[in-house]
Amino acid sequence: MTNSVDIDGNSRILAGTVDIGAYETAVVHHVTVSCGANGSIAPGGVVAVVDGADQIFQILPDADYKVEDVLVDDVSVGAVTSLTLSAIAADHVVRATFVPASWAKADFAVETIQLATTTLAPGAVFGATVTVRNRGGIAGDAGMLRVWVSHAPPVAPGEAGNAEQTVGGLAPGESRTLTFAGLTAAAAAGTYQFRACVDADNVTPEYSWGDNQLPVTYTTVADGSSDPGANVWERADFAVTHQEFIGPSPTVANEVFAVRVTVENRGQIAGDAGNLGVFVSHASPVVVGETGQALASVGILQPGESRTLEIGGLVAAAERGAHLLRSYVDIDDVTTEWSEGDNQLPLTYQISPVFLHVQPVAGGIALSWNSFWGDRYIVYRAGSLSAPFVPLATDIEATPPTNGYIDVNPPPGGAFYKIGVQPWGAAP
Amino acid sequence: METHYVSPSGNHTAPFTTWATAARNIQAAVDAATAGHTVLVTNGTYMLASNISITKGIAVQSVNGAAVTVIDGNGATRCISMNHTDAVLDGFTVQGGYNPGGFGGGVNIVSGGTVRNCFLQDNQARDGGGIAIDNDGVVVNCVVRDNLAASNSTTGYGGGVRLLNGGTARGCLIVGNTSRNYGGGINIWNAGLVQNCTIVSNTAPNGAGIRTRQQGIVVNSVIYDNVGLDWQLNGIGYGYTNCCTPGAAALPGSGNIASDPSFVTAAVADYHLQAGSPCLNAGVY
Repeated sequence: MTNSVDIDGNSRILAGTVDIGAYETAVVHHVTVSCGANGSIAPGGVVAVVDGADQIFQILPDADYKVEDVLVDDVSVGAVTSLTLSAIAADHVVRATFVPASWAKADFAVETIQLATTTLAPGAVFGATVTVRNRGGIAGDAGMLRVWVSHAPPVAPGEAGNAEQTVGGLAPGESRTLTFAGLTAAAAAGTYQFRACVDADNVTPEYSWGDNQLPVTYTTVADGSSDPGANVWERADFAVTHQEFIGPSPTVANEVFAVRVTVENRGQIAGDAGNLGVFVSHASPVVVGETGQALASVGILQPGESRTLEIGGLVAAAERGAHLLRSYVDIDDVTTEWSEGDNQLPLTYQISPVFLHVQPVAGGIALSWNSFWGDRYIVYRAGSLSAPFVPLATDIEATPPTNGYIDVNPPPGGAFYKIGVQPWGAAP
Repeated sequence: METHYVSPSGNHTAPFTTWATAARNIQAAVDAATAGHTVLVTNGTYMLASNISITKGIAVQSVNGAAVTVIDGNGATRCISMNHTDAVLDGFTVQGGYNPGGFGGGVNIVSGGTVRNCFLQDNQARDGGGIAIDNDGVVVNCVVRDNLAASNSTTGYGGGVRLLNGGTARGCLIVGNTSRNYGGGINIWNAGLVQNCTIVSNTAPNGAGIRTRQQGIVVNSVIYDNVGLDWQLNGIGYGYTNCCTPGAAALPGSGNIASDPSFVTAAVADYHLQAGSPCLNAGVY
């Protein structure tokens, strides 16, 4: 006969039958139990079960509820009230959900709350739209829909609020949307919970009070400006939101081109967006009042309204290299805005370096290259790449967009040419 | 049921029935007890000049367990002799026993007695360094470790346990014992039962883990990682059932497996089984 306990004093049989050896070892698995509202599972929490053992769970709906479904490792086993996991050999998760046992009651719920904005000035007036629904099985009086502009904890039935409206009767499944205007946000800067509660006085028996109310979060931000009586949320805010070249970007010095620019009023009120100033080469940000190469009138923009303008006749930079084109809306600052930081946007383009073309022609070798105002050029020639380049001509003035030169006496064995650039005033 | 007390601080007044009058040595309390009595021993190390002899149906048990209640033969004498079916020794460390010319260094049971919940360690005898059982007796839920079966020559039978003509070792960890000749962990001669024992790291030239000669029965036991052959068979009539040991297929019996038992970690002498061990739920009840 085997001992009843092992050498450690543990039961000699912990799962199945006795182990081989002096020690009885309990290999433990865990069943994690959870359930939705309106019921429970026993035992609950995390249940330790020795390897190979069975574990029975009781699924216990609250009064007036029944089991909707039981899931084991996310697989439904049906609406059972007792569950046996047999010969447990791994960890498991058991979950149960519950529904009303019969649909003989109404059940009102606040389903959505929409605030006009979730960021407000302290004490600002705002509006809210609340949708309620009867989720129950019979019609009922949804009583009063009450709202609180700042109420973090759940409200109790009958608690006074900041505003209320009568909902009236709702059929099963029927929803109703009510709008509240003239609500006043919390007076101090911070984050608050706006809360709405249907049948706030609990006049109708329901399945659940838990879904009668719903909170949403909003934030109040202090103005910080010295603009008495006009907080930042009551300003226009113009922005250049997009710009692009119409056609290819300019690549040749002094090339004429056009751009398409989109501006938008991101603010809360309409305003005059003034003129759009275009600066064809402006590396640093433009400052209000600067004079650009072109101006285009934008005019009044409503909140959220955008407008696209096309500006042509722009002349590209004469200097080789990268350039930043900038467009600035309300360049003369005719309207006070929330922010000037988004009034301008840069757009990059590149003026190409010198490219030399060489072609035999009658009477010699013709050279041509793209040229730039302000440059003078030197034409060099060498009999081979190991031989020195010797100037053929110097002080050739630029004649943009191209310059040309003919070597009338090329060597019979061929030659190599290069163009040197020599700024005005510099020695050849 | 009367209790006789043993304490290093008792005033040693027979019949030792209070802690105040407790005996200062165990033999005195045993002598004062009669059948059905209990000898209760509190914490301390009880050094012996001669072995404690228990020949009646009494229980000698410690108050707080083997870790703090020590019977020490001082390398000079066997520690315990038992010879009664109802005699019980419970909850002691039995160490330092010495009987190189005979049976049982730590404990010798002849025709009856039970040793349980004890550490039998660092004892020496020719037969059964830790414990020898002759005819009948049980050693149960004990750790039998680091004992030696050796006469002062090359003879030795059962470094940890010697079963002769009967006796049972059940639920014991038998580890680190040595025999000069047969059965480093256990030697069975002519009958004996080994049940639910873990027999590891023992050493002997013949049957480092266990040697069964005639009628030895071994059940539900792990015999593994011994220094030498884990098992040796001699004679006839033995059987192995549901044991875990290398070469299990060659054993007479059924349900034996050769798989690694998968100890938690043998390196620190933790011989519990890991999850997934082939020994889990593999015994026969």
